[in-house]
Amino acid sequence: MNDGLHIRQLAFWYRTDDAPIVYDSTFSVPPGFFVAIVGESGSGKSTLLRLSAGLLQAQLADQPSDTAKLAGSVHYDGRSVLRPQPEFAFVPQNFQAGFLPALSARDNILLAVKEDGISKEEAEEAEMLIRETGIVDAALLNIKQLSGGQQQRVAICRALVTKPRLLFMDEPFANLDPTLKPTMGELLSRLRKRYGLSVLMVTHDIEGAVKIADSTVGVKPGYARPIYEVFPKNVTPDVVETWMLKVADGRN
Amino acid sequence: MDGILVSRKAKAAAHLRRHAAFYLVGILLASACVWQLLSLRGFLRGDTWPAPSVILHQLWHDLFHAPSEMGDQNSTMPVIKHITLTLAKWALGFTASVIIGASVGFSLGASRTVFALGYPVVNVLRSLPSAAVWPLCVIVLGLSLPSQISVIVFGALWPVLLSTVNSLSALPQEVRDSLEFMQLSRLQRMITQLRWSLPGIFTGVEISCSVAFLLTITVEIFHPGNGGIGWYVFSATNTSDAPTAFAGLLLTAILGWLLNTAIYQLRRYVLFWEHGAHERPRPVQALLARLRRASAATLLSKVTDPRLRQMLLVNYVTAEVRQQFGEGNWKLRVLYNELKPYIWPTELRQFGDKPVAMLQRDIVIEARVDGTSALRPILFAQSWIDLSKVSKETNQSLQDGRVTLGDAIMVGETDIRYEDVWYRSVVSDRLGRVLASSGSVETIQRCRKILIHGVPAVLVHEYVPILLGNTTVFV
Repeated sequence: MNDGLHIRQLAFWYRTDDAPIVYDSTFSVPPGFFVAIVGESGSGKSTLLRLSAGLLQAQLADQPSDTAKLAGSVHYDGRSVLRPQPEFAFVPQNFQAGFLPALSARDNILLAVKEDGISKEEAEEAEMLIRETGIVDAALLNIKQLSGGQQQRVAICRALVTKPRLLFMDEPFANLDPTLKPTMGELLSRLRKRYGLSVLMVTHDIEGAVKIADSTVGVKPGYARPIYEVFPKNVTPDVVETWMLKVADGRN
Repeated sequence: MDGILVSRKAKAAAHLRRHAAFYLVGILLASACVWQLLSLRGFLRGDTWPAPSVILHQLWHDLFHAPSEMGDQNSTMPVIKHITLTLAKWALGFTASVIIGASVGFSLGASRTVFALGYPVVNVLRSLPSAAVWPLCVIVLGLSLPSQISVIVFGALWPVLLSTVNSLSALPQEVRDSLEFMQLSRLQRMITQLRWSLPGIFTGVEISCSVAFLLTITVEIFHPGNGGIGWYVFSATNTSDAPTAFAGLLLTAILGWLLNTAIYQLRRYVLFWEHGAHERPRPVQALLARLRRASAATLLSKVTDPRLRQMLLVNYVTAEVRQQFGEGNWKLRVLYNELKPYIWPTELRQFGDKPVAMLQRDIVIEARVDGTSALRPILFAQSWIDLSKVSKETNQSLQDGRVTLGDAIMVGETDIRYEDVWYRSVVSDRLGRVLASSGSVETIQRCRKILIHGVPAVLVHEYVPILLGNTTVFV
């Protein structure tokens, strides 16, 4: 049985003489769980996500920095996460920048699975995702001809085509028309059920997050370090918002 | 509304931008005229500032005639041959620069270790003027083509190399992140990175193109023995021949401009999305279609009767006939309507390997051309219909043979698209028997496809006589 993702006392400094971006953060994403990280801009939630996915660790291994410092641990299924694991997939906030403008939507999805040529199953998997996310009509068009919402679906398809167990998403609703948010939420829960996915998502939309998340991690910038709180399922947005305001000065 | 929303100044600027080429050519021509006038009036000395007409004449003469009949190999060659020599050297040098520059740049950009070791070396080497390498090349390789090419490559590879390194290191974070999660082998990962960096690399390629051309002319001046435009320009110094010097300059400028334009067009082709296009342009096909349209216009103008010409321009021919000749003044006769086509035109190959149910339908449309006389055949049409690709209703009414093809499709189908394939003129005895009583008749043939739900379903060949009324006896 898969053990899920566990973050233990994670801390990160870009410069050790500055305040930490992430400090003493502890939470878990059990298999099949939907966890949302909420907080205002600049609270370090995107950095926390990149650390959880192993992206920042890989980047630091590639370009070592004298000033950055990492403490604590990230484990997935008993393994220490030092770079993105094969079971992971990631949808960046600015997903448009990740597309190759020369290709169709479908070919952009298939970019992710080219290890030894695209197998028949992979092509079928891609077709199924295209149907599932409702972009059949747009699949053969050039990626630039698609609307923002459709492009986001393409980004999700590209992430899921590698058959991940855990999906990381950075602000999936930020670039979306407000009317599309509920649709995207539904799509996400449907895909989650269908593929047995766990999701770790970063958002500043507290109301939207608590509605669909199994647990919510609140982040706020404190006096000298960010502060975290894990809220259970079915927490009301008010509770989270009150917490955000209550100890905003960090002197708990 | 334009006048209210856009200021006069902005409008003038937009006009200037749009017609920039026109104004520039105008200014150039005007200056040339002034120059010519000054020369004619004797204000400019002919031996240093020859008149534009003299320069042009010199260039035109030298292009196709050897400058002299005696002397070395170079002076007995017309300049057009020197142009090919220069272009060959440029092409060799440029191609080698792009290949070497991109591959070295890629290894520097892909590996941090290679970068740390190699980049300082690159920085030292690229600060050397390429002309300074010439003596060394001559010592090592001799006064030869290889040393010329080496100097070109040495100067022209840096823009490609540096732009490759820079655009690889400037890949957006989103792309780096996405690559981390893709299941790509090392090589595929590199190729994918390269595809993302293409716009940046191409900027380097464009600069390399100009640098390679400049250096080609330079090395030709260094070593004129190998010929080329450089030799032509340089030959003017021996004789203090001003017209040749100017002609050489003009030729170099034109060639440089042509090469730049070519590389810019290549960019538009490779990086088509930069200009808002959604698919790669197909210049050859576009040109062919344009030529075909042009020839279609000439062909159509041969049809003397404007009503017949109009019929060849619209999609629903029968509707047009109805309108042009009026109800009761025309008749449609079905000559053949069978599931066994007796001809399989080559265009039918696009319909798939072996259509199961292909209906061939030949019709002739007759009309009272002058309003009173007997019906005369004005159009003969053959159509091939892939019945498996049309709806049940269309299928039924077509097999009945009573309705026209246009009507059957109009009623039975929702998604119809006509594609004009081509026009051509056809002279045939067989058509003569249908469209006139005997002999051959000259016709314009229109061949087009009808796509139903995006797939080719119907092929139509229509024949309209070019002359109406000259053939006295009609069926």
